[in-house]
Amino acid sequence: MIFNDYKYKDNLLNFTIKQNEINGIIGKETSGLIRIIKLKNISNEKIIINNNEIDKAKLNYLRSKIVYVNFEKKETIYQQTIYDLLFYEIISRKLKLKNPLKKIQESLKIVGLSDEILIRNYYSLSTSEKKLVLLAKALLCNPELLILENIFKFLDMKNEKRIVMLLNKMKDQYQKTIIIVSNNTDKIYKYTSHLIIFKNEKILIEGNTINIFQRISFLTKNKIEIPEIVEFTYLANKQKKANLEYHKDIRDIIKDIYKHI
Amino acid sequence: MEVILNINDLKLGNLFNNLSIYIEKNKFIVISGPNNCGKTTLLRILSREIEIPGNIILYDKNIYDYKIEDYLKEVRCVIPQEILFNENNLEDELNFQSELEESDKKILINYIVKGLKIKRILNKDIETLSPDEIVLSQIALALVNHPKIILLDNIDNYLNIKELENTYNFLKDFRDKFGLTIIMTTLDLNQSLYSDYLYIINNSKVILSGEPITILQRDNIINKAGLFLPFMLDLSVKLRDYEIINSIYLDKYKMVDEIWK
Repeated sequence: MIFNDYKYKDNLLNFTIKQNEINGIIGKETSGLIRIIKLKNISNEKIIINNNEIDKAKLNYLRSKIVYVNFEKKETIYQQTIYDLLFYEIISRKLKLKNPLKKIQESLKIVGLSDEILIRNYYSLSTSEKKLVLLAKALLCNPELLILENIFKFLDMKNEKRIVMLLNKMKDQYQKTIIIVSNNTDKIYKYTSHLIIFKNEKILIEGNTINIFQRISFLTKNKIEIPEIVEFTYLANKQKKANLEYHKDIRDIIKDIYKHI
Repeated sequence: MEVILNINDLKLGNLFNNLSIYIEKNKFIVISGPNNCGKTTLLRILSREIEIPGNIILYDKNIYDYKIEDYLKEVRCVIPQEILFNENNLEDELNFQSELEESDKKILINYIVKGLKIKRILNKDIETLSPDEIVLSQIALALVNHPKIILLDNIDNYLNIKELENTYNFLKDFRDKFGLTIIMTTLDLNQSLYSDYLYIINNSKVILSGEPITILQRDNIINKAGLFLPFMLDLSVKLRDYEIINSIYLDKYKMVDEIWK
């Protein structure tokens, strides 16, 4: 999705969300950018996506295919059970479904949860179960684009790996486009392929994640935290001409070091 | 060595099975473990929010033998975002909660405000505080009556690296001036590098305990427990296994020098 000349405060924003990829957004006060991606509160007279003007009917359809979940925000859930919570989502989104229970079961299955969770209360769930339920809830409307803020926060290694596998499955098997919004640059570097950095109400830079993180001086100047693995590689290359490649996995960098010494 | 708090054979359903932890006076202790291992529950027990039959000794008495108001003078707990303010801003709240004489009160509040760098939020409306500002306010309020133990639950999820480093430095300064034992839970083992002693709990018991830099070299046990090792430690341990280096390096410059010496 190419967004052209979106008015945001005093600036015009131009950026791309890569389809069927895991995109990353880093920045302060990204809510304005997220609202544009959600196609809400747009001050432009014409909505142009992929160089095509979008009419009202199309706009409403597109909006219905975008979901946003902030995993850091403490949810106030009034529904008694997970079934009630998910069923309420179907009602509030006015989803026309022949068999709502089947749809709920399918969404739970995608995220790897069994039907047994339906009778439980949201507040009795573990941190990772809550995240999976919120993802299942997000999937009920068959979204094409999922915007997930702070999805890796509060997760241990096992649960993080489980979520990453699920995101890759949603991308590869169900052709979803995913945006991860986070200021944890280690996670953004590791798990995204396309990156947008938003700063001072403008797009500071966008492009391939690995390429962007190689611009150490530029990022440091703009107070963007450098992932530890990148910082180490940069230092080895700069100070010792080590000729290491920029890797995402610590095991790969070890192999590379072994090769070069 | 003077033990201030002694947790003996704590049992709670499937969560704790004969969990024993001793806390040395005026030390900075980190308790880590994967999701749902009971870190927050343990702090809720130590703050007497949850009462369970057990043998937990503060100084020389069971914690339940203290009147609750006397206990709370000794032990204060910070669980992020769980706070109800009585006043409209932090300055009024600090004054409201302090039980010190007027002149001592002023000196201590000034010291805390300066140390935690929260002057800018003193007069902000409570409703407009951001999550990190709320956590810093909670820490300030916890210290305002000179407790001997402060319990901090996953504060690293809300504070950025600069705020965390400043908070740790300030708490250590407070400890040196007035005496303070710091007990902090976290998923992130990077935080344990600032502490004196580390406990890792998993499957209802302590699986590792000791000086952080020593404990963190047990990479197999830590990874099996579902925790990420700090990047530099992970890299050091792996490179040492490959006999590329001989020691553990937390400093990237020193490690680069050692590898390409």
